[in-house]
Amino acid sequence: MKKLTIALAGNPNAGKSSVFNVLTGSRQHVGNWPGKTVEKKEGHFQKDGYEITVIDLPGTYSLTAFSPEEVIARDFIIDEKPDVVVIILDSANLERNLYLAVQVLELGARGIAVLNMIDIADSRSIKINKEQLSKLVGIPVVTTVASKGEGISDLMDCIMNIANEVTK
Amino acid sequence: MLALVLQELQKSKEPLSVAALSKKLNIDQSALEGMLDHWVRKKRLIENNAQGEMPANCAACSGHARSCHCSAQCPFIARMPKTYSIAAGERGTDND
Amino acid sequence: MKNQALLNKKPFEINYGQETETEINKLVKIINQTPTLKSLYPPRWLAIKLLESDEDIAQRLSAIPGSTELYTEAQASVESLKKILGDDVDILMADQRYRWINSLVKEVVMKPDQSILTNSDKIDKIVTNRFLGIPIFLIFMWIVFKLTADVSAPYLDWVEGVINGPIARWTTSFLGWIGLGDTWVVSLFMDGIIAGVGGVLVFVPVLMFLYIALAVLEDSGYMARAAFVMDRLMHALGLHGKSFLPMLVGFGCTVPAIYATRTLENKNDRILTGLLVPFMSCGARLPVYVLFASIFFPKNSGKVIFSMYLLGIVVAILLGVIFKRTLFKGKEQSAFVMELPPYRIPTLKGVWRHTWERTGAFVKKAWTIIMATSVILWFLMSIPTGGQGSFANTEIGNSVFASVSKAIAPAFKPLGFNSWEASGALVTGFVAKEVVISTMSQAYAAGEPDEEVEETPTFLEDLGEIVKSFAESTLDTIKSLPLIVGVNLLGEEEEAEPTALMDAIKESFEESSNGNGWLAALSYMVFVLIYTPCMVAIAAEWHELGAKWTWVSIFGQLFLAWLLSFIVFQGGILLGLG
Repeated sequence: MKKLTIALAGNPNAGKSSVFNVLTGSRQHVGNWPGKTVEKKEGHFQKDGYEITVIDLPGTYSLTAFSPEEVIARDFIIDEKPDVVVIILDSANLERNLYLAVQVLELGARGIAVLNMIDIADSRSIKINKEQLSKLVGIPVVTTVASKGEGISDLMDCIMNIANEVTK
Repeated sequence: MLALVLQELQKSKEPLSVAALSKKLNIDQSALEGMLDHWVRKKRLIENNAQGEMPANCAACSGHARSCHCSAQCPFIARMPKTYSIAAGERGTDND
Repeated sequence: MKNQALLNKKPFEINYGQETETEINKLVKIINQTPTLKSLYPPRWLAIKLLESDEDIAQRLSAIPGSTELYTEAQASVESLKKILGDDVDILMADQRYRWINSLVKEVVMKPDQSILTNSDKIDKIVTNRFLGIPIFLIFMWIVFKLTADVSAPYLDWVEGVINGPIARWTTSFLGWIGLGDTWVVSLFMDGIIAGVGGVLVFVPVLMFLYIALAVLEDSGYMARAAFVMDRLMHALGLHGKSFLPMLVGFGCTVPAIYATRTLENKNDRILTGLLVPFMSCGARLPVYVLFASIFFPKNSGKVIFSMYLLGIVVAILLGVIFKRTLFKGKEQSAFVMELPPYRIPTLKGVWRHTWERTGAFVKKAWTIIMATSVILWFLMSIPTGGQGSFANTEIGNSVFASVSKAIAPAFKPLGFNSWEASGALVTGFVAKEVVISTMSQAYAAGEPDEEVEETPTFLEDLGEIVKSFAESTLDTIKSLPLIVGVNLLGEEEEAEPTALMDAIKESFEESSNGNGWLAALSYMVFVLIYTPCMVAIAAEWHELGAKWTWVSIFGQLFLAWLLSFIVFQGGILLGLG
């Protein structure tokens, strides 16, 4: 079976763990990052002949060397070179969340932007043009409400698209 | 934009709320919070949430909170709003 | 596939401006020539991190052979960029990212017109208004104390009844049963522990309702606005803007409030705020206000209690202004930004947790500090002086405690209260403010003969009575709610009966003040408000402010307490208010 590794990055409270839970279901393993007291969550799922490993990176606002969490997140992206980094963004606070997204992309990672909690943004009449966002940033964009499982199939499609491209 | 936030604070004659500053500078509130935190990391702003560390053996209520595992700290310390103020040495050179 | 994504056809790059880009390209070139580095890091990213002076990267590079040249070159770039651009390179790069994001968001996000106010904005416009903010804060405080005083009153009577009725009887029976009846142990329990600790525990309902009200204000988000409004006032008066945060903590307990001053960055501000914080009425002082207000101002107890809190704030601010202009002259205070949390409806769970934790702290203190002082005090009240009586069998007025108190009492003569009981309670009150209450209960309780109940109710009858009277209290409380808006459902005849302790205090104060009992009571409350809060607070001051300022604080508070009480009592008499 072909293998694929995806990492989840995002600010604290952007809904990263909801996305992680819907993607991996019950196949989760919780441990610590080697030599650190920071929790490491890892999960698996299978789709279209792929065995996919999902790594939940620590929630951070930035990728500087300011805290151990930030160093762990960026080291993982540099050293383990995940096939895809799914960047979870809080749609209602997009501007702040994009700061992390920019830094993930500067690392040269292949990214997918997830506009999570889009329902809250909607309720505040915040409209996000995701096609335009995708074009300007140069990565696929999907909208989700991960806590309700909405938009997860779109995200899955997006991941599989990239998977096919990577393993071509 | 970052510099603007710091300048506005140095200029201000009275305390501001984050919402007011966000309106004034026309910066999204979430982004502004990110910028304030950025200055805190650079030690040009000081973040303060009025929660001085309590000594572990505070006798005022005989460590009630710890003994009943209600909370890790003194129950009288309310969750107070965060404030950011300019760190010493960053107040501009003119008012010394 | 809905997304016409480009799938990373071109690498993501932010343009950092001409000068910076030149340096980045210079470094990228070197990295590309070093295969070990190129295989480990994306070259452009590494160059950016080096220009940002990233410590983690610097450390890693030192372990990679052949990276010295790159590092030296990067250092030179950092220095030259700093000269050209006028600030740290990492700040300028972060600034570029924020700008890039800002222009991106402008293109892809449509927000509702920012000039349309949300409900939260509308509320903030009123409650943080420059002119309305402070009056609104005062109104909220007034409601809090009115509620606390009115709603808790029936429960207060209930706890009183339970402690002095069933619990006292059970204790006596139990002591008799284990063979200690008719010994001094009975007196230790009845006149010492039950009178002392019980006298304090009576006020648990008051504290509970105060903490419920405060928790509602905190959890709703209003308290943050109150702090903001008061801080703006303090700032305008030249005081440290953030001082009011520790002061709000001081409404709960002075000790954490003193430690909270640690977060002020300037030493002078810390000391000044540390000196002012004790004037905030802590939870322990409230029972004293409630007791005296219900004796001398039964109709206006809420107003009187509120005035005490207000007086504390006014004294703190006035002293602050005076000190700032004299002892602590410093540079102008800088402004600050406060993050006001969104308004929300307080949850039952949240309010309950706060209330439970804080009330629990009060109860715990009663079982520890107050219990210990009550026992010590009982001994001091049982040891005779001048050869009259024997241990535990002496007229309390001849005890060691009464003799010492009588020696001090004349100092309080001009303030309207010089009975040995009232003076003695102020002395023991140094330990904690609850001790003022427990001392008075002990001193006055021992003086009265034990009531003989003709027919002792059974244990079950007692239990039944406790439940029944609790239900009655709850009913009374519900009936008392309309009082807040001025509708009295209770009726005159249903007003609470004064207890023996209340009668004794009233008599004693009327006597010592030549009939100006209520002025003397007011003066006593002011004294309790201003003088040293408690031993633990002194220890906290010692720790945070140092020995010198602690002494200044102790003696300053004593002097001020005496002075203000003098003004209240003598001024009141001069104005013919007595």
